Amino acid sequence: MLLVVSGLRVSYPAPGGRVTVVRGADFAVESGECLAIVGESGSGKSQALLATLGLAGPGAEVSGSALFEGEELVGMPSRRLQQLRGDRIGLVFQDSITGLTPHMTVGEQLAEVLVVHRGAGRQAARAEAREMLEVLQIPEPDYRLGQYPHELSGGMRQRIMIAMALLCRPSLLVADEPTTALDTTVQAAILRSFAKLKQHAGTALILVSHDLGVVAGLADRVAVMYAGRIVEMAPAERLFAAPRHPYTQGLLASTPRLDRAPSAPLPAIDGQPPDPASVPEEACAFRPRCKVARPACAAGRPPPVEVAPGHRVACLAAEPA
Amino acid sequence: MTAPLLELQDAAVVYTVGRTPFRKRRLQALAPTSLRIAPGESIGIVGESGCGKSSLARVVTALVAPTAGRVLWRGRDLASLDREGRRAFRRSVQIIFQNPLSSLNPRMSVGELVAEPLAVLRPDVRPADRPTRVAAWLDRVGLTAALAGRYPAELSGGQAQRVAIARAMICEPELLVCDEAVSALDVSIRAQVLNLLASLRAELGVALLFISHDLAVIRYVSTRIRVMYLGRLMEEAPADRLFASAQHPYTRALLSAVPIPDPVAERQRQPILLNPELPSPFDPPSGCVFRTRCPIARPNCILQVPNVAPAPDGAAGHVVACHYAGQPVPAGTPLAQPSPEPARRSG
Repeated sequence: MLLVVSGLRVSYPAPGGRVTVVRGADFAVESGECLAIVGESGSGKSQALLATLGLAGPGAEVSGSALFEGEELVGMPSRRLQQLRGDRIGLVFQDSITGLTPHMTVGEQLAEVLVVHRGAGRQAARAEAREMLEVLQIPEPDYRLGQYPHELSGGMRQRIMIAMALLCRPSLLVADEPTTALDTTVQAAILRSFAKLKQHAGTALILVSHDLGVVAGLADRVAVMYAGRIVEMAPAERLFAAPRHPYTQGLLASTPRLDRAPSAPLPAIDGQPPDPASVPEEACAFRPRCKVARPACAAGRPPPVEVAPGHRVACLAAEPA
Repeated sequence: MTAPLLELQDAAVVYTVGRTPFRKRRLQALAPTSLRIAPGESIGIVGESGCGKSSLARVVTALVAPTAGRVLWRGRDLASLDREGRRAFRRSVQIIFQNPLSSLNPRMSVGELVAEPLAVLRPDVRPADRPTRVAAWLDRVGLTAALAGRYPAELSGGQAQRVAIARAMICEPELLVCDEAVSALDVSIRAQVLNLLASLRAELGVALLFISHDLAVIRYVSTRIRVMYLGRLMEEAPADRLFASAQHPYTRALLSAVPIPDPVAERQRQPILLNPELPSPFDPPSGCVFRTRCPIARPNCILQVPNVAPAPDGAAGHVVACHYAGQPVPAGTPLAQPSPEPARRSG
């Protein structure tokens, strides 16, 4: 296993006590694999990932364990974490304009990654940067290297960010909502860049997204988060074909899709996602919105149960298939 | 045909950008466009960034005056309306935006926010009757009466959007414009709000102008769909017809690019891949504005602006602006390639 996260908890200071946003997440990623973490706003999907990489916000308390290539990331000195990020772990975020320096050309910024992390010479670094743009099938690579970030479209900037994240041949690439800010027709091209990477020397991908369509295209396994916990995890084909948690089922049903005739009304999940400050520690957090909730759901938090190989569900109503 | 509620006649929006006279540049956000909205109708406007869909919404709601052309409300030019006429227009045409929190005054309670349009636009409703109406509308949009005392900052995104809907609907408008109104909402909440909008239309007969970048969402609420690109109309058709037989290469690309939440289908999907570089709106391409990204563009597309014309098969209500409408467009590669390319040599 490349990355093994266990018992991860993340909390932030808030008026009236700390608020826990990740409440014990367990997941692992193998080399070359794509794990998608899906969930709605406030589910803790981004926080779980940021905390793993030492990027949680000020005041955050992170506990649990995250072993990456045998090294413990939780509590690791920030200098060492900085060395890992950009080298062994690549990062791509939703907002690509803030990830690029406005006064340096694309070529300079890409080369700098290799100069800093690998001690490469400027010339060699630039040649390697150019090669990466070719691998990602970015048209006119030489022209791109001479451009400044503001001269690029959002889609091109995001592809440059992916190229930058991949330059040091990381064993893990982490992408948080990488296509959310992009237009649909541009997204199609970016998704192909990610698919290319899967063919590329065993780079593992953790994809955080709210878009089930994007996840369906790339993920080998999917973890569904709700109120700070992973409520269901399964191989992608299984999760989409036979979801067992009522929340996953509801999420899939309420996603409009173009390949099917629309049913009116659109099935919706009643109620609101919970406020992280008021999630009960010892009950199922989805219970107030759940159509199959029973009294026992209020009595204790359902433990994850393996219902099929690699398919874990934290719900009392899900029995082994 | 019934008399339209609202009609655009060659309405255009041009912004002048830049401070000094030498730096001024013209940006045509909306090319001269005509549109008729009948009472109770539901029109979807779809397109990507810079297509002019929000400018269209602003012209329809008189938030922006067209720089050319006319907007007619029940046959009367908006520009010629007197004070009372404008008030009647504001009462009849309402808009909700993508981010409800930025359109709700943070210092007003939910109850005050929903009552405000009544006070401003419906002087005929006695102040004593306002609380009853507010309570009825909060209930209608699915909010508990207890929320009336809360402030916008205490609401979730879905709740805030419901407040915006209640506020827009309390004066019983005839047209509700929704500009990316569900785009910022989570999937499960988005479905609730879409169903609410559909039921309001069914029960009250309010016409909807639903603007979105998301075709799958727009399909749920629209009977007629217009596709826009760089400020211009590319294609318009009844919803079922558009999804069954789109004729414009851009519409086809849009339809083919929407990911499907099913790993088997999604990995075999062969979207039409467009050149991802959008042209600058300050310097739009000559001829057909879509030609720089179009997979089937020919020399003719550089020279001639395509007219908005009936679809090649003459289907009712279906118009396309393309010299080569209906011609086959090559599809791209699927995400999962059966035989992966050979790994490139290292070093």
